[in-house]
Amino acid sequence: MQMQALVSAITIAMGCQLLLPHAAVAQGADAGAPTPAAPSTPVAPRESVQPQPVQAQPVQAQPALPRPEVALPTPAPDSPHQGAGAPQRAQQRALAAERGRPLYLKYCATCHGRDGDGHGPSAAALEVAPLDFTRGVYKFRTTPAGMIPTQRDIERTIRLGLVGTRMPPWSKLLSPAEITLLAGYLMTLSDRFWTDEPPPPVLEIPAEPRADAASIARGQALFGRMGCPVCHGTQGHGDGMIAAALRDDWGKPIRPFDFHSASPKGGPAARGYYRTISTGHTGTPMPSFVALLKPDERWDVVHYVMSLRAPRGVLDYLLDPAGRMTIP
Amino acid sequence: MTVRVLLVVSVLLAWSSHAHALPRFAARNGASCSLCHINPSGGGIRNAYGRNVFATAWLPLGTGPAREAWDHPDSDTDDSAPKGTHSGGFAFDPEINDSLVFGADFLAAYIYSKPDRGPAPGAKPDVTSSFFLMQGDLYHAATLNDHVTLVFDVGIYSGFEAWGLLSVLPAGEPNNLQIKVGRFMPAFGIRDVNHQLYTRDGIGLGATDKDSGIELTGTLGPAMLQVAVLNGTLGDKGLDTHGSKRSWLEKALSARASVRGRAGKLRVELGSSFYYSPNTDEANPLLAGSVDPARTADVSEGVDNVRAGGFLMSNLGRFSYLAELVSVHDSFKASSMPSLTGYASYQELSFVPLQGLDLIGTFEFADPDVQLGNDRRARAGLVAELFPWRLTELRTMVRRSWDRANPTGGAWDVVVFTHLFF
Repeated sequence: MQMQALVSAITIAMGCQLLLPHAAVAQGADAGAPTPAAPSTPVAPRESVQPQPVQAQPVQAQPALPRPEVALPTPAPDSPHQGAGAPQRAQQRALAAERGRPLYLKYCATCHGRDGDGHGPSAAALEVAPLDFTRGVYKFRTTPAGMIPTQRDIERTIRLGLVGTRMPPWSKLLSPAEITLLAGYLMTLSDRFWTDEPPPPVLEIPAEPRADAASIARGQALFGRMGCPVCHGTQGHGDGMIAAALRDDWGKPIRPFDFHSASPKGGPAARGYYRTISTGHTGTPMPSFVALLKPDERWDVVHYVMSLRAPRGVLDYLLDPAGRMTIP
Repeated sequence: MTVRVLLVVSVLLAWSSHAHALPRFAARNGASCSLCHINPSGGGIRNAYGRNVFATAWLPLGTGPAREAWDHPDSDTDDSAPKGTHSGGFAFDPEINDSLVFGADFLAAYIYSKPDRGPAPGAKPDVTSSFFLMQGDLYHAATLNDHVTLVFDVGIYSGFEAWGLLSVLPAGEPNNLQIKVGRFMPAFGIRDVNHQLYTRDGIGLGATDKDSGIELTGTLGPAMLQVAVLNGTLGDKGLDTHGSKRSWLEKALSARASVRGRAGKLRVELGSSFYYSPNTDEANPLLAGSVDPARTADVSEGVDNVRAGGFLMSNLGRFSYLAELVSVHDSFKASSMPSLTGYASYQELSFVPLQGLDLIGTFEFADPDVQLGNDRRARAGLVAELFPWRLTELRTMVRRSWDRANPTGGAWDVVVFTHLFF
């Protein structure tokens, strides 16, 4: 029985992730949105993600959920190549590279590498590996799973940094114009941003409903039904049954988030949780739930997982790794 | 702004000790000193990460994340979130081009020092109250390619360093072999920039103790081994000047080994150091006071200097703890001279209440001659160290020393530092 539950949960989790780019496209089309681009550079297959046989029948295991209204109707407004022909794209790319590279070499290359491949001189000393920009695969996006981010997505990460890593919030140090130049430069490092494909749709985050007890209770039920405990644990401690075996697309072990800890990498705001649940984290086992959960349901899950965050005690404060970005 | 001013004032009013130990940053980062410095042994000119990321984004007050930025409803979709206090990048840039960079450490201080006793019985203690320039180092580094870097350091008091670093693999590779050739400070123990420590100046490995030779650094993931062959002429001497009694083959040998590990939130680095210089004509500074003045001439017959020690650097959350214990042993060639043994130790516990502010407690102990037992000395200090903005450090300290062998006894020292660096 336990094994059946495990298989069912894995099926949902994996099925979501593997099917979602297509699911999102279909839903987007239903909603009148332009068809998003398929990745021009395929994302490397996940090494550790579990049993392949269960991928075939993902949703049948939990058929009770209605198909949601999809909230991915808006094309990315800032794709550099939108409406441009190949020669223009090449010109724009060269210009963005020329303007952003000095800043990149000064502030970013030491970790991310001069070529953007994540192998800078400081990378080996960092506990969380710097991103390889040449693959064009980004975790923190407002676009569907597996798709390129918008320039604003990249700017947001540069601006706010990533909690618990060595990626600092550069908004305190660089001007908005410099951050825009940097984001533009990062996009020049991957061919995925410079294809004929139309830009991907952008997630719209609706206003957050009230986080009352009923919403939290609904979120808790959805948390279980969506198979979240398989990775995140029944209590949300990040200690699910397959947690220890999870790896990212780069083959590195990756630990599911512990909702009781201070803050996820994408920040402590509810909108950040909503975005992650909606788009997933490409390159990791975290799938997108945009096709399985309606916006209100996603907010319910957000309210539930945020309700798990324990009040920070003195011990938590003292054990926060100093010199690393943590949110009090 | 008011908070920042209050913090600056409160730190200036606080008391502290000479612990300006940047090795605690390495402990906090769970990395070697070369994360931030070009020199594999640490210290001196900073590399791109140390200069543009750590010193810029992780040290100063107020450069940490702002919760309100994430909570801003538009932070996900546009750039209207709070921007903090960005200054639009560096107004001053020490990077001349992709290959050439310069740097500096400029440390000016005010010191108040009051010994327990005067120099003679009944005399008043000689109180020192003075401004002074404590450090002035100007660095240059030229990165010729991924494998070769040249470094030149001119110090106002500390002489100069000039060395080339050849890396078999590009710098930053986790497994690498680097060869340093030129004039530099031997790798030994915890490279604390406070040269006054018993474990630095006290044993003859202070700021001025540069030496010429060749040093190999091998890194294998978290393990590092450094081995050097040197002239053995510590102090501000250019050539091996240990006289005709020392053969041309008799050179100093230094070695330092360390390994880092992690258990949960606890980060630890353990290491050991060794320095051997045969047939020199000087006793170790720690032991020199124990040599009978009437037998000073016998020392020039030859001394084998040995220094050996172990160290620990650890971090748990906001706390970092450093400890070093060094044993010093001199064997004299003059048959009637007994060998001397002493030791020095250093401990430091630091706490970071918020980014940009470190509170540090230190304790040092030295026994220059374990046979005598009457000349032990100790120092304890408290430090408050503030990085109010980029490239600037303000530090205050109070230190109490106890020294029974010194005619003036111990002393109270109070020092306020301004440290500008890039």
